[in-house]
Amino acid sequence: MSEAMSSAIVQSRSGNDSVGAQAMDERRDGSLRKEYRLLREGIGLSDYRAMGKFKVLGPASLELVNRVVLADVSRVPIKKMLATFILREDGGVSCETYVANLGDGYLLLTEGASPAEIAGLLANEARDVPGAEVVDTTRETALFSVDGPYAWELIKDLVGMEILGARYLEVVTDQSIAGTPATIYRAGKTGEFGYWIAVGKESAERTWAALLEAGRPFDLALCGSEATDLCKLENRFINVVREGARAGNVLELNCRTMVSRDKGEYRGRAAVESVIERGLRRRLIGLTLERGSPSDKLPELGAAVSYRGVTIGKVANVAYSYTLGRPIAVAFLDVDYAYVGLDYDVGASCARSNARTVSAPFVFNKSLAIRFQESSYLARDSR
Amino acid sequence: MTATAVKPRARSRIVVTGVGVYCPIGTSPEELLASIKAGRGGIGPIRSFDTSSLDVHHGAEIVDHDPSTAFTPSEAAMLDRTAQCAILAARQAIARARLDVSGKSADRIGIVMGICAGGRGDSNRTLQEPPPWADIAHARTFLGTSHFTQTGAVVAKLGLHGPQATISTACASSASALGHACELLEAGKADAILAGGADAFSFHTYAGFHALGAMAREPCSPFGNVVGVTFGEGAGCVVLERLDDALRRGPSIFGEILGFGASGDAHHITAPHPSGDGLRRAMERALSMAALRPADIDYVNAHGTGTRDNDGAETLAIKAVFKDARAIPPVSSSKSFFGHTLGAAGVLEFIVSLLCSAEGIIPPTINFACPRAGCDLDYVPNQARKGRIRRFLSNSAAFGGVNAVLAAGEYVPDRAASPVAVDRVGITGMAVLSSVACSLDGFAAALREGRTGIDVIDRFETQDGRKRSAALIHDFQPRKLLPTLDVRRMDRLNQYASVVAGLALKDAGLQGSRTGGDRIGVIVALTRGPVSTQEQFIENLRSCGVAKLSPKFFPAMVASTVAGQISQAHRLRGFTSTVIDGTGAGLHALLHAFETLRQDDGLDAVLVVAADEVGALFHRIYDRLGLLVTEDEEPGRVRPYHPAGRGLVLGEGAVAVLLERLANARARGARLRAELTGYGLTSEAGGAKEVANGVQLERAMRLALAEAGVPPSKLDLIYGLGRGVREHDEREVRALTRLLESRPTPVGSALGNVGVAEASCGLFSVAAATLGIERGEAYPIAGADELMGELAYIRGDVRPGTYRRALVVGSTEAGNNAALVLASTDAGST
Repeated sequence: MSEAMSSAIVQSRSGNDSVGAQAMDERRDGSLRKEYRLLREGIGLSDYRAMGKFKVLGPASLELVNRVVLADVSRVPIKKMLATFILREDGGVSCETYVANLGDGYLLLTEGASPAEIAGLLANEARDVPGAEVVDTTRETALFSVDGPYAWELIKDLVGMEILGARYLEVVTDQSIAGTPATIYRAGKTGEFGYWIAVGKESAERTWAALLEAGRPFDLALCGSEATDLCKLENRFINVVREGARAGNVLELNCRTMVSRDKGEYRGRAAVESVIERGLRRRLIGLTLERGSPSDKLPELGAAVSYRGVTIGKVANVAYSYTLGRPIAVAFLDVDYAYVGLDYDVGASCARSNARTVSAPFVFNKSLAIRFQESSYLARDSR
Repeated sequence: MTATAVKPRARSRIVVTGVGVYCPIGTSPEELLASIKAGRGGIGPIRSFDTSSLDVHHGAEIVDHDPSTAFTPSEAAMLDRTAQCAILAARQAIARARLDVSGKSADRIGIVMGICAGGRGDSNRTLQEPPPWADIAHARTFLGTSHFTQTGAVVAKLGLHGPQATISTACASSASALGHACELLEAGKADAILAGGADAFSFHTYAGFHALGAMAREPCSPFGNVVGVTFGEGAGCVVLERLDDALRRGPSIFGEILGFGASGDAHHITAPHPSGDGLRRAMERALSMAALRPADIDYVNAHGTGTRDNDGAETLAIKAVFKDARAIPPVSSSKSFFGHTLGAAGVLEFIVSLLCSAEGIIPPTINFACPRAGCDLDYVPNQARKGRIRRFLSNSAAFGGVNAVLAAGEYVPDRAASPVAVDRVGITGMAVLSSVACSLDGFAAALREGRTGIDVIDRFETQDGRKRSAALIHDFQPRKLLPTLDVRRMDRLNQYASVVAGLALKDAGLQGSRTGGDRIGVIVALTRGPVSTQEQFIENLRSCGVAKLSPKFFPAMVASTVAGQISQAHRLRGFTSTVIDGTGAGLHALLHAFETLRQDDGLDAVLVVAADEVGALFHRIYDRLGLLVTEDEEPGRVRPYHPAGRGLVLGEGAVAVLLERLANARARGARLRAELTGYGLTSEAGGAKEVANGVQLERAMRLALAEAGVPPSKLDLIYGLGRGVREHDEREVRALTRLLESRPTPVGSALGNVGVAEASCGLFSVAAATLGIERGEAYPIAGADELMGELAYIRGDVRPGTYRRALVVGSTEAGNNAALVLASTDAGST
């Protein structure tokens, strides 16, 4: 692996990449805003190599995947994906996973738990499912992400115009980037156009170089996890290591539609069913805080949310939104208080901030206004 | 999928020997050309209905249309405006071709029409008009708006007996029609074909596009400053012949069709692929068939509707085909002159290109002040310019992601013919959804046991308050049949069509990743289409008016969106088309697919899907017209071939048949269920006695047998329709009696089991025949007690035996006849 590439590795969701963590601290001041602007107005490049990548093959692949994940993947069309979770037995979130139907099996792209942990979990479950084979391709596969309102323009230049028709959560196989076979996943969690590019690890450097080279006219630059996490929060994608880790039960994350009551047994089912029966006690909701500057101290994770002095919830994730010019947060609130349009207090009495509950998402994405035939970063219509 | 190459031969050259035009800028080719040269458009204030409370006031209507100058009072009253326009254009074309349509000549003259919206009926009157079933007159007028009724009117007026087809690929309808006409001529199914299209200015169409926000508030400016479409009306018709025949006859030759390409976007049911990918592939296919390179093209007549989505995507498609920007020829949109004429658009724009080619000018795009963002080609703004058009492309695109492109040009005597690689075609996949079963095995079991899905229903109001019968699908569970198909946004008919399509692909071993997207086409057969959603559209329009009409019901009014749903659901991006007919739709679609597939080595397979839904709208109309059997008379059954057959029992269902080129099927080791070895298409247009005797139906059968190389004595099995209506069943019986000459060939019908599912019934017969060939079974006619004539009907129990060659026949009430021969894989083709 080249030095240039290794220095650009972002911190993985499992947090075990010290190179990325150091790189992130060094980039924090100033660079966070710059990376954020790239993701919101240009194109940013990230390395997702630390995501777990597992193929589940064989005639019983569907059965195994359905035992492991929350959603019912039998409904996923071929060459499409869905986003779901792998739960703990107590109904809390172990990790997030995208499940892609490849036609002859499934691919799980996991985030939030270490690949080794997921590999162990899958191997364990596979013992009870003859006819299903799990292949850990984490180390053999490089995964890069290109995100931003003009990401499509860069990708189109690399693989051809047809990619413009790829819909969100679609899998586009048999692509080629600089002569390297690639699979492209129309995905991303920034709310802008996003494309995950998977290549074999032996082609990782070449592909990375090709992306940087093709991205030069687009001012393509690297983006760290803090910038992508901020975009994720603004668009209310679940951050599995923040609010995901703090959810007592997955249903608190407002993903009831992911739950299938008739798909059979899966990890954490009993706990999920129990909550459905008795009802939720708290749920996640978004909050905008008082206007301030990026350098202001943010409420702590776990800070209390209160109403007339009574604690009604806790902050699960918080960041400063450059687009809104104020901090934003998500918090688990008691269900009786978890409604949009209400004013609460966040933080301890000595550092209290007014906050208002809001619906999702926090921002309106530039990508929503893009028309492929008329928009172009190269024509500088973003200026 | 790679197959062993089939040896190509020289393709017939197809020339244009007659042209007819009836549109807002001219009611003759000369007037049309003069308007083009003068830059004189036909868009003006809409006159046929009140738009004062709305924000779109412009359209292109034929303002001086006076039926009394061309039709008798009774004809004018009976013929829809669309049919009137079509007849006028057809007459011109025939006159200019100096074509003799009398006597035996008519046997060899066919017609293929593109109709998008259908007739307009009373829709341009106020919304306070009574509903269609209010009285017999309204019911008849409403039924008279059927797409195929417009084509049938031309057939009847001109007395044609050759093949007859109605194609409805929305805005690409007449381009698709010209393409199919070329295929029929290539196959020798006719010596001349009238090919064209028509649509009248319709309030329903206006309302639907208004709801979509797609219309321009001023006269449209394709690729220019005014965004949106302006609608028009009209008809265009050309006479197409094989060159050798034309040279022998001696008419003028207006030009030559060099190639045709069609594709499906498989992207969205109303918006085109954003990169113009599907249109690009259609253009490249047309060029390939014509053996032309992009550099050989002097002009492109664009689809150019003026909408933001189309114009930008089409510009990208053109750039992708021509690659080098300097090589892109002039591009213009004739819709700037006469608006979007829907069913007539493809043929009118083709005719504009042809006439301008002969005149040595390049037609302009008028109303063009400046190009809009994303559109930067030479659109020939506002004035025609001198220029030689030796060869051109004429583009059409449509709802459902349909793309159809004609490559054409001036006639050059010594031009070399391009190659065609004709292959044999067989059935490698099949699926059935019906009132008796939603699987092939279940369907076969029901046929074997004589089980029927017909039951007495009280779902719909009836004229006399008595109940009727119908064969409805109960317990339809798409999630169980095809778990990976997302049907949440589909209406009932689209669910049937998409599910049965997926099941047939699965049966053929082509589901999912094994499906070759660009090389598998889709052809859909419809009669009434998604009736429940159409009812919602009409009701929504009546209750909310145009200004507040919801856009979500309008796509169901456009037939091509069903093929679009199937294409999108199963990622099929090859050739796509839609055939609309009465009870002949399924067979016609199958034969269209057969002909397209066997001539096009750019395709491996075509999926044919027919679907029907029983809804209140047409059930009440049929009931008002006395076409349905009442419960008292025929409780709960169809009686095929009964001497006193009194009426219809409607059925719903869907059938999908996957046709595949044999070379490809063998290469991938597919199971071949049966081979399609011959077919015949004819039209009844004679006097009542001739029609009643089924003379042309018998001729269709004989044509099928002749092509298959099978004498009547070698037939093992026959499936007719036997719809339970005496005069229609009698026609079949008489034709079959003459054909068989007392031979005891078993005759069956599947409609006693599944009711009269209008579009699907022919394919239910094909399914029964194919199962019979495979399994060695002839299935008894369900509900058969008394049967007319002396045919050897299959009664009582299933009859095991060896059935190697089966004839399947069907016709519509208006006498559009189809017959085909299926053979077992060891019987093969001669």
